[in-house]
Amino acid sequence: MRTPLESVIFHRAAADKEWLRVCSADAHQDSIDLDLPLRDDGLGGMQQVGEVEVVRHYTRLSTLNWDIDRGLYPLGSCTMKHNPRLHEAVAADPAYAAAHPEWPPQFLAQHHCIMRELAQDLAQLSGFEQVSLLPAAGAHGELTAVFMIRAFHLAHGQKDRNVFLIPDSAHGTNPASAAMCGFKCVQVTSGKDGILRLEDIREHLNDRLAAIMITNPNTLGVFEEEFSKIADAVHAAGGLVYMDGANFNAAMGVFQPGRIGADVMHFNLHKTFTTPHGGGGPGSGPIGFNRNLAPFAPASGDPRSIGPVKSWLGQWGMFIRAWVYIKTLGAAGLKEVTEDAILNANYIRKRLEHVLNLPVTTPTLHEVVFNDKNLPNKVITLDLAKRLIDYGFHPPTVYFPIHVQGALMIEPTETESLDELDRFCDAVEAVVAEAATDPAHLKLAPHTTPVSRVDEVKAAKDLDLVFKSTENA
Amino acid sequence: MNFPADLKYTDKDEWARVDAPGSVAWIGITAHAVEQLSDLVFLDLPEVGKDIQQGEVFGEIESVKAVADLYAPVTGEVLERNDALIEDLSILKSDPYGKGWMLKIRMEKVSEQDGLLSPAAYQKSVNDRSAGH
Amino acid sequence: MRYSAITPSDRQKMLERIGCKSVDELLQSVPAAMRTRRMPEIRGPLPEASLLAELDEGKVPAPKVALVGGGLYNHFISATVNSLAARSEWVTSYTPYQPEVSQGTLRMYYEFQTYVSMLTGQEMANGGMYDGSTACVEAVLMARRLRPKAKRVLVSKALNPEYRRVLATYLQFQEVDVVEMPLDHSTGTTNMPADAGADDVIAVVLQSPNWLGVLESTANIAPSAFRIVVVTEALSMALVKPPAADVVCGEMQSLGIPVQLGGPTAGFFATAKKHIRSMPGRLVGRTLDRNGIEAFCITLATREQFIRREKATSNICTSSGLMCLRSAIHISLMGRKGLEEAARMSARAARAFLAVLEELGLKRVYSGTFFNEFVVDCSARPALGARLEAAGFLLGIPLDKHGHPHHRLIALTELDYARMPAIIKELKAHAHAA
Repeated sequence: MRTPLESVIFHRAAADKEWLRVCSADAHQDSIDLDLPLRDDGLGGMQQVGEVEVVRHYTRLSTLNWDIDRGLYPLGSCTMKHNPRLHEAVAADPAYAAAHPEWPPQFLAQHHCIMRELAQDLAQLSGFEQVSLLPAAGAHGELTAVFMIRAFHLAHGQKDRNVFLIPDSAHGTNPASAAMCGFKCVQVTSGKDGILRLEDIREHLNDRLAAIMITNPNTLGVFEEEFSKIADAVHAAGGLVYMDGANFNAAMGVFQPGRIGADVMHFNLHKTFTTPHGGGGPGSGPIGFNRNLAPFAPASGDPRSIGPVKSWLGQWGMFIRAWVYIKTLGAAGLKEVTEDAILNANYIRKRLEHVLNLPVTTPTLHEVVFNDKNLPNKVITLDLAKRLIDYGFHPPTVYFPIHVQGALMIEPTETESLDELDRFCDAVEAVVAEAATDPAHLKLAPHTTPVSRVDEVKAAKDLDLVFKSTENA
Repeated sequence: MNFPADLKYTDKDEWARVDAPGSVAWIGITAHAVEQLSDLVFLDLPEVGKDIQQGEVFGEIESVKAVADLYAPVTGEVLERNDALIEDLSILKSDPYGKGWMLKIRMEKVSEQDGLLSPAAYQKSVNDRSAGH
Repeated sequence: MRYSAITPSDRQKMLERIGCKSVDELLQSVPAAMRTRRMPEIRGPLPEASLLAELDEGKVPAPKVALVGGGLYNHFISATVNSLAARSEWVTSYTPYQPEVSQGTLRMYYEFQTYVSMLTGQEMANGGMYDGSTACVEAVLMARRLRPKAKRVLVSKALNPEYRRVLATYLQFQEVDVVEMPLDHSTGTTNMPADAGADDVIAVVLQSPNWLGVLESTANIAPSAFRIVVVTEALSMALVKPPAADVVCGEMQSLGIPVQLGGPTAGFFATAKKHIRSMPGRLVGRTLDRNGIEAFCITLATREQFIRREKATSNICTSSGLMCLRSAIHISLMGRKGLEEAARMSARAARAFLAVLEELGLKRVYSGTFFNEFVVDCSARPALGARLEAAGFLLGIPLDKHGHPHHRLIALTELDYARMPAIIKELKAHAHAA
């Protein structure tokens, strides 16, 4: 049964269609004159659609999306795990959804209690002394940490410490965040085994070094075994260590970044703590930090605080979801989360290690990176990814990390069943077989989606970002 | 790939054609640079009258998947800008050294051309960089 | 544990296939010295009913009336919005990097961009930012990129104090002077300096309606200035066009997003087409697929962090997807006529309530035109606010901690319009008990 391919809602809009009335008219208030400079441009051409059509429209649009409830998203470093319904129900309770930060504190006692406990639990899990819940997303948490690092060095009279060391495997937000604070990003290269070693960064250990940014396990899924050694050397040189906590799903109950040398780390509540991805947000990126950085944190109360990076308290709607998750599982449950995440990823690695090329053979934890080397008939990672869609799977992350040519990064998470993992591996095997037997068909994939490969060149050249009614043209 | 003999080059894949009297240069990017980019979408060049500095970024060329900085091979003032190229980037694929010129520059330091690469030296630079992949 | 789909026998099979005896063998790559020694102290596990019971017991009753704004507004949101936005295809889907499996999300972002363009009167808008405060910051950072030699940012004293503090945080390392533009204490509008258009000025930042509720104008700003107008009460745009500006940015929360203590919400950012390549945030464009069918995709991604890395226009990655969806659904449901009606009701409710306050001897502090929020001086009845609060009626936000004892910032919306007689009755009961 096919749902019509629904275009954007403006095609349904008309001046004489129905609209939603909020409440009954009140004669007394309606007699009040509005002394306002009213706009006269027809609200930019906005019209009405009517409720029935609105429901039909957004329902149809939703069916054009893949989602985690329907099936696996093996996206590396995204940690697309199951999003519990319980969290949505609690967050929607008006006691939590309608709360306003300017209400007097007695109305917000429970909310603050929940936030305190969340911060404490995140600190306990990560081994950091304190946690700030404020940043709105992972990249925002990174930026907050970068600001704190800058403030730290300035407070110590070290204004020339201008260099951030960033591995070639880092996520793009790392250098972007560092650059937003005026730091110079210097790329360091990991070894062929995927591990960053002290010798790889030794030449940069000088008085220009502000910090190093490390993801651990890194984006290859490999644990950075020299992390503490590197941290010690960076500290000795006067620098600080930032850990990108995107892969924290591999850490719980296994290692604590705050105790092995990291000075500050961001969490992604929308990854490890399963607040839903929402088609591109909202996220939440609290940061954990140790006492050397504590005075500089937002809302530290210390005059050296960098100040707030966002209005109000942070992503409260995500805090309550993450709090429910942590309470539901407890410490033992979260340790099992990490263990199963690592088990699932290693199972996929074993099943696919002779199907796809494994560029780095070092042991991996919760994710694994393959690439398209040795695929016949010039079939590339992109083709594999698109064809997997026809088999009922969202593609893995492609072309990241960038230092691996044609990378295919797979992270199943702990909430996938063995059955789903096997089906996924079967599909990968089938697609790789097609590369040899029917490459032409493969390269035009996907064939079963409402739209097929999209002309991205045209999208960039003939920019069409805002609907223009042909009537008004 | 053949690089025209009458041009000079940089290892950032730019070319320069210096007029015989030596004070005006036409600059652009090489076929090698164009090949690396694919799917060209946008070109950002400075306006007439602006100054560019050798070795510094003077503009950007954008494809769907990447943006590449354009580095000035010489120092000087922009006398003309190839607006026809901006309108139709496909010229870069067909004629990067002729109709694909980007800027005409009044050179401030004529001696800068001596520091640029010959076609052979540029070929070597391209080979060295490709071997790294 | 809850949410696991792997049974003990599955685990056995998997370990055998991998060639390990236990999961612990898979952790060998973590050196022993770096392993966690003790279990973190975390309360739990709590099963569902126990957890809900605990939450229930700890709840504090919400205020019965809360005429509180200050940048976040309690507006009407239909059950229809909540129901549609709760569909798992919206909630649990990922960022639309693979357009073939995310056409729903991509179409939604295009709608959001279009709605923001309509509301702000600007040519172009992005797919959302974290919130109004960071949208404001991004506007200033964009102005800085466009004017690299300029050094000063002129910021209105009537910009929301939360936003001013966030701006100060971001700018403290940028070698930029933030200069405060003072208030006219009679009208509540900003006094624009004569040199706002000077070469060394990065941007002029104003809010309208401003933090005191008063509408501002950019008419007296030199045309050469880069004008940034911030809007925190998005519903105001249904009746009042934002002042002419180079960037209009702010907070979408008033349109379909619950207050949620201020997060998550959605920031909006709109500007002229010519600034497109300097614009931060995600952009979704309309194109065709290889069969000529209309399709949408993320475009100009070369500005974004995952490609441009340290030269990105911003480091923003995950932003506000689901909140943008809520706004789009809400705006679609209300349509132009519904938004205009709700806006008129908000404005009328504010004026009706103000009239009653004036009858009680309380005066409005500023004379400038307001939309749905205003400041009153309560010194004629100093005990009123506290007495009302004790009865669960919040008479706006006290401005004591902002240096204005006895001033209160009061906001009303269409929800207050709907129960105005009851609100007035409650107010008068406590006023007369004074």
